[in-house]
Amino acid sequence: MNEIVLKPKDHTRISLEAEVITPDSFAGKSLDEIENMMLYQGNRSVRLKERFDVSGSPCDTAADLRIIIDGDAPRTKRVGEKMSCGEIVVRGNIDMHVGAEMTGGKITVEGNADNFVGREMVGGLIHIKGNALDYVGGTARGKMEGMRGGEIIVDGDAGDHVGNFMYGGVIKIRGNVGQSAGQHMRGKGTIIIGGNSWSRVGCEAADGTILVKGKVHLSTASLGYGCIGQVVKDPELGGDVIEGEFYELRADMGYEPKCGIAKVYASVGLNEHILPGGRTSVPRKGDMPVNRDMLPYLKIYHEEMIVKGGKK
Amino acid sequence: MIEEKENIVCPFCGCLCDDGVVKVEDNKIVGTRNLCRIGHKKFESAQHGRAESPRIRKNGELVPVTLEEAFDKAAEILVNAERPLFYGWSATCAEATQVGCELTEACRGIIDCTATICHAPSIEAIQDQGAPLSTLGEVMNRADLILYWGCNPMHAHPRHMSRYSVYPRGFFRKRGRKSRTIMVFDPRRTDTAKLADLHVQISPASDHMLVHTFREILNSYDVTHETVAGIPADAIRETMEAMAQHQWCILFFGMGLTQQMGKDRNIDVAIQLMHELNKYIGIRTTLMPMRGHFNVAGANITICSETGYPFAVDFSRGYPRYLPGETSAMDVLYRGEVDAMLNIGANPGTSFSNRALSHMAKIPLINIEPHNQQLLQISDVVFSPAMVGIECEGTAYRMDNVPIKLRKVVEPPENRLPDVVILTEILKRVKELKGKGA
Amino acid sequence: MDNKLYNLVTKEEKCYGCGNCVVACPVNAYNDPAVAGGKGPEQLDKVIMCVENGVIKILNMGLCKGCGTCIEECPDGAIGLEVNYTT
Repeated sequence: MNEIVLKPKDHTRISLEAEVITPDSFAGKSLDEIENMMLYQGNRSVRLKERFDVSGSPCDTAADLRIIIDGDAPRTKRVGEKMSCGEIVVRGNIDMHVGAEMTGGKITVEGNADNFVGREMVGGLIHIKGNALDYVGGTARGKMEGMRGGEIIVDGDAGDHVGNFMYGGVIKIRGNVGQSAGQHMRGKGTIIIGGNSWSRVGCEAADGTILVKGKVHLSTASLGYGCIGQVVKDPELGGDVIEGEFYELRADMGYEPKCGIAKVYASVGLNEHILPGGRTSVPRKGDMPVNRDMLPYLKIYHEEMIVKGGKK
Repeated sequence: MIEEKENIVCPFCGCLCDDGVVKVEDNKIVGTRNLCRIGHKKFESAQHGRAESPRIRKNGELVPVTLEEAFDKAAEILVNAERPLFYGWSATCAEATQVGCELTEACRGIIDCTATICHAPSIEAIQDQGAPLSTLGEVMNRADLILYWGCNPMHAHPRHMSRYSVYPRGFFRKRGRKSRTIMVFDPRRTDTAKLADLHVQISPASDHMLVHTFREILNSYDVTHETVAGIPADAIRETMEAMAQHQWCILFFGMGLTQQMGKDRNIDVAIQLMHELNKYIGIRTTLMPMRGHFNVAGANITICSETGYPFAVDFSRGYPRYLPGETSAMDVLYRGEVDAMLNIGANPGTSFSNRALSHMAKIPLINIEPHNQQLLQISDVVFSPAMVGIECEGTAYRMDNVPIKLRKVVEPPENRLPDVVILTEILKRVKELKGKGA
Repeated sequence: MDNKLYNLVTKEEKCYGCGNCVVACPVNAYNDPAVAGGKGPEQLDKVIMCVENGVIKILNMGLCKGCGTCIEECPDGAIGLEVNYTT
């Protein structure tokens, strides 16, 4: 695999828009041509060599090309936008829209990423080793179709609106997520959350699956606890079997059944607070914030659910 | 001799009451009739505390200069900027916003209006869900159920209830207040709530949950909680039943819904609820945001008609782009991306976060503002224009997006030009400078 | 003050100038169609009260029959009825 290394030179406050940094547009170009590609900064345009030291071995086929951003690029937007093959490695932080609308290939970010990771992506793999901010796998404003395929893995935490308007693909967050995860999910997408989920999980979701291994904070009454009301053991989601017992719940009772049923799986062990009379335990450090106690009002009976799940 | 000028439009809040009477004596406003306390104060204090006309900051002091010099300086700042921001537009006329859009395009900057920190979530939700809207005239003639959610018109839009929504007698609502039911959803016992037939005192920041519970009931699920959002389930069922007895419902909502946790998602579900009320029960239901400034709706409409997007429009590549969160005023200031700013018809000094303000203090700031305001302390070029609706004419949009022509009441003081003229002069110079550079 | 059982009293410092009382008042609405539709009064000699300089002002106390509608519509008690027992 041929590598092209871009070393960021200096940090400017005004973001660079670097949608040309993709294997597709680098393929078939000499180093000199790559150095002279245009980036946008504010209302000016700059040559790539003014912001990055370019080295490495170019090649003709995009699929054999690996672009390495060797350092921190916290103000470089749109890296890997619309890429279809090849690989991008970022050895540091990256700004918004990394891997937006990508159709294939692989992006690895070793630091953190800003908003809109994998916005409207169709295929490929994005791996964020740090944290990601809001709208992971989401949409641009006003668009009704989010992520359609591919996979996003975030090793740290993610912000709000993970998988907004998601139609397909898999998002795996190892840490906690903010509010409204999986809101407006419309297709067969899957979101797996390793940590806790802040309020409004799966609100207005018509279809799709959300699994929360940690706590589910209830600040929407519409999580249909008791509607499906069963306990599922080791569900298979996103190609993996996830160990443990989970309540299977309906995400949005307001939605008409004909749209499909969005499901939320919440782990049995950590979600006792959703049961009648259950109080949230004292929040630990790193736990999701608990600001209001709306939880003990749910009338679901743990025993009944276990029985139902057991029969299945 | 006191001259009474009739049918004056009040340029204060989104109500744009057009029946005001202003008393003028020797080009001085001495009194008003029919206008509320806020509107009266706007007219009464318009001619006091005016900022001195054009000033430029030299050696840390604002020094009075000629208009020409100030125009040149402003154009120079904007031409040299890499990412200029044009913010405000809510307390000026639609014509000025039109010129502003052209100026933004010429400078390839970002144009954003004050909606970005108030009713932008409503617009975003409408983009996602669509919205059943109506005019205030329709409300007056048809509405028999009026919901005020997260807003307090008695304080913020004092004449809203008496002029447009609750008290006037309409074609189908002949007895005025007695033909209508008022419900207020607010965590506080506000003055509006005191006038309501039903005050649903929800616990703070749980509006989303309550709207969802209404939707569950409409979709024939039972409420599985004893209490939702601080309201007993029975009371919620009864509220829903009471709502279903009506024919024509309007939801007025304010900051209480748009600027709490969830932001646009709260409006999102509210629109969904309106849709389901229309669909299942057959109550004709519409909703209307309670816009604050007199022309904030107009700023959205004008920017939308000029560029295709309602606010937060980025011209940095020569064509308009829109993505709140990336191109909205607060975000670019927060990230410190802006390197020059023009503020017109707004007072970010009282509404922006400290971090945004501290960045604004570092960059050249052009301020077009008639009165002495907090932001003058960090402004580099100051213009004091004629006030739209008091000293010059212009078009403004009411909260239901109806355009209303503002009228001139008194002559502006010397050297005060209308916003449109100031912006046109700056635009002319920007185009000259850009022409030279190319 | 007119020699009547009921007198309207106003507290200007409490008034928002919202005009709820002006529009709600049945006498005003009957005498001035503009008020019935929510606007400010156009015939000042035919209405009981109007909003002047941002606060409520009683114009023609003689027209008031003391029905008390205006009091119900004021959230802040800026307008009230005084009972004149001596007459």
